[in-house]
Amino acid sequence: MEKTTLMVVDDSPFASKQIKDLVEENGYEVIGYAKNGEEGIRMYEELHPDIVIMDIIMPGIDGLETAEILLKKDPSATILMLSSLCDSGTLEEVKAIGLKYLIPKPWEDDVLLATLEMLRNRREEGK
Amino acid sequence: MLNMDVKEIFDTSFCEVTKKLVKLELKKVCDEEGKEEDKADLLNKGYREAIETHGYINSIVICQFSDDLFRYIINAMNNGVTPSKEEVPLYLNEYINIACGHAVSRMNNLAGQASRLSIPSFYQEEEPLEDKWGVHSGRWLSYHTEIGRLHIFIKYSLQSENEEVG
Repeated sequence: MEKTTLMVVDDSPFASKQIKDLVEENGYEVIGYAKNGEEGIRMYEELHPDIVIMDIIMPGIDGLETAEILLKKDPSATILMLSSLCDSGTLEEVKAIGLKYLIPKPWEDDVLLATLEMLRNRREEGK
Repeated sequence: MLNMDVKEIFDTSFCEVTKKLVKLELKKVCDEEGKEEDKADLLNKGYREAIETHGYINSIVICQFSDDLFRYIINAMNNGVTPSKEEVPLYLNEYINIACGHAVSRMNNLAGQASRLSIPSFYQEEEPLEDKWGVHSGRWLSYHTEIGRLHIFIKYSLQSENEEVG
């Protein structure tokens, strides 16, 4: 079975490394890291990952705007938002751009893995 | 005004996040310990990290780390390995971003209003922040740990108050 591919868009090497260590032990492959939204958009078009894990607070265009641009270019993009800001208002902003999930930083590993699993299953069902 | 103790919320968030991220217990030192001028001097030297919030809560938060604690945190966040010189600020940025994001999320939920975080800034030279940020007075949280000391300066105002608290 082919591994589900992930791309991480986060200016923090801490988050990127933690995510890589966690997900690669659990059947995913991280195929790209972008340190900001602009790089994330370029990389997405080049790599076409199955799932994008996107931080919200980043230099330049933030994660919400980046996700919105990606979804306009590719409405089938699967994006999971991460943020240290996880209040109801931020969740509303995430929903307003058509996404459903916002994982708080610092995340619980089992929550992140369960959400990725759900997104992977939904992608499979949609094929 | 909502019954919200901003300083206590930051205190809880820094303690919880520090424990979760770097497995370190922050033990609060008496709030008013030390002379004001000594505390203000902490803003001007050593390893510091600053972040602002805007919206319902407008604030400036500055962390000042003792040398030992600074090294411990960046190494612990990088699986025990010292990060490259270029990456060091990114680790501390993430630390303060997560701790303050935790606090601001709680305040946003309590108030039912929105506040946002700025991109954090890292300082290590003798660059005076007291004047840069206009922080002449504010509130302090001081902690000791088994590794070293952490001082947190907070100056804030809540949108409904239209006045600075410090």
